Amino acid sequence: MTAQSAAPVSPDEQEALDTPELSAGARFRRRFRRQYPALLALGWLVLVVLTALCAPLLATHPPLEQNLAGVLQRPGQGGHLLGTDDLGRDVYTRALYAGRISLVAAAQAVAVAVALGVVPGLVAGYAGRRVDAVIMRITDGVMSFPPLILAIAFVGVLGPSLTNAMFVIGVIFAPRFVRLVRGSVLSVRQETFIEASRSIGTPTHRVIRRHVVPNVLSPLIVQISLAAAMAMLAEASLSFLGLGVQPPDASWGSMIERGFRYTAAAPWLTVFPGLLIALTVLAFNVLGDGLRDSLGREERRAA
Amino acid sequence: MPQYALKRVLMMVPLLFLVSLGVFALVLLIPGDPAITIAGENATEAQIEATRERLGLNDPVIVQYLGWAGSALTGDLGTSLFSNESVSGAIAARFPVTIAVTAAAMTVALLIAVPAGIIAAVHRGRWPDRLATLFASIGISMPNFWVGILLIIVLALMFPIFPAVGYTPISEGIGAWAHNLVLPGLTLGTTVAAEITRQLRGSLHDVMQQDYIRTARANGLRGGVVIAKHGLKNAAVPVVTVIGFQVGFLLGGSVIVERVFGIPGLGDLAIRAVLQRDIPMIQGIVVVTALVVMLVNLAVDLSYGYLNPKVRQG
Repeated sequence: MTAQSAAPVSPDEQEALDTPELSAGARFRRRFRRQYPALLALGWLVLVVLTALCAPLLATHPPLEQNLAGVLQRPGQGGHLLGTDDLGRDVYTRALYAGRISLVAAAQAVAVAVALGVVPGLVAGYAGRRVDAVIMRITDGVMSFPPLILAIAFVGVLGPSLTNAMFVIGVIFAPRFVRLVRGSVLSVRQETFIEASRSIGTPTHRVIRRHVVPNVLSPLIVQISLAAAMAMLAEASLSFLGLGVQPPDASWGSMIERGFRYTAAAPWLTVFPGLLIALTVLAFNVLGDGLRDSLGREERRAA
Repeated sequence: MPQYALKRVLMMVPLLFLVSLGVFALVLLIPGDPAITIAGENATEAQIEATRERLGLNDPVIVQYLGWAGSALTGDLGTSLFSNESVSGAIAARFPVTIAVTAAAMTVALLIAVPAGIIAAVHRGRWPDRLATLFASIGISMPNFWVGILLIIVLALMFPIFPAVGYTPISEGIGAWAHNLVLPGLTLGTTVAAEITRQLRGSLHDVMQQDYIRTARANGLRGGVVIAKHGLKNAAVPVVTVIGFQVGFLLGGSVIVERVFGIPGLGDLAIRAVLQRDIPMIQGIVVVTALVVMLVNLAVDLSYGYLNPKVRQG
């Protein structure tokens, strides 16, 4: 290692020098393909989404069909792959349908967070100091509440329902997106190409759309993946407390809640849905980390 | 330093104002007429009117806010709509339990994270690091109530070492108190341990690359001393920040863990308040927990001054 003598060249820059014919996007894809854990995580997520979409095809029983003669059956007993719950419903089938609800709920929360976070972040980063200060104080305010307690309070006021719960989770996550977008806007604003564009008279909204937004996009995608992981955990927590999804619908979190009452007699009722949550959340986290590691040097700093 | 501390304390004033505004606004979010919601579906016209009067809902919003915030400043958070118990009193009775759960979780977290983070940072890229990173990733991905149930299945039902549910006040003996807190502490502590390990691994690794570490080593200091005296203190700022963030997480997580283990803490109070729509109680709990988080963040910021003298001038 004689890095001291030559001008320091990072691996990313070296890669860019070696492969000048590749666009930034192509270099990103090349790096991402080498992230085996992230590829595995992506595979799991695709599988989960597909099984949720095809739930009616894959189900072995109707999801709400009760069988009081065969409650709390062990996995494999009576043609039930993962056993039955306290009402004799097929756990495997319910887990398929619950996956739909858990995934849609996480998507709702992330969508709300992005919708509420991106524009204030752009404004805070691009507008003057005073507007920035006001927006940042408000995000500080939201962030000084313990997230889960704030969510519980909101759901308590609005009434328990999954949509309310996920809307609130989205609001609570929004400050992260405000901060992220603001941070990347502030760093990209200093770049020469923005100054050049402004100096030839490009209107502000066009500078933002053509130059700022594309540069904010990649750290945003990383954050979306990580936020989906947190949203899924938050949904599970609220549903476990009975403040999220309402019966007879079930999410993985509410399946654990239901199974918790029979922990001693039927531990599989809590083990399987929990495993599904843990694996899916892990996949979102690993995917997010892998995406971040595949970004170029400049973008990685903001993410 | 006193100047920095003063500035930091003053910064809390607008934040407190925003927080109080947000908590007060919870009432405005009640769909429909809050008086009907609170008095109940079957209330008579007169009962609804009495409720409206009692809650001051006929006053202009500003007056309502000032009245609420004014009494909150003196420690009066109103009265429960259901038990006629004072909100401050109910919270004060439950808070020590939640603090105990939080402290148990933080103890578990630090006991795991500090050694794991140091080992991972020192052996960066090799198997101890990979193992620690893998466990940390798994740790933050598991729903903590699920971890709690698994712990109950294994350590309370299969091998009855710890009680599955319940809480013993510390006044009835430290041993019994701690015995009851082991499983809740493990449940919540694993997630926090994972976060702290990740942060400590990253920042300690960065610090160990610095020139002054090389100099200390060149001067003949032994590895352990270098890490303890120069590495950890300089790596502490981001780690302390994460620990501060985790307190907010723990207060929320405690709600769930209290539910799993049947512990009569703040979380138990919060869930009951939410199910009964006991709005003053909900507001009180949110205010108190937000205040705790703000004070912890204040302590974290002030500790920067000790850990990194450069901050004091800032």
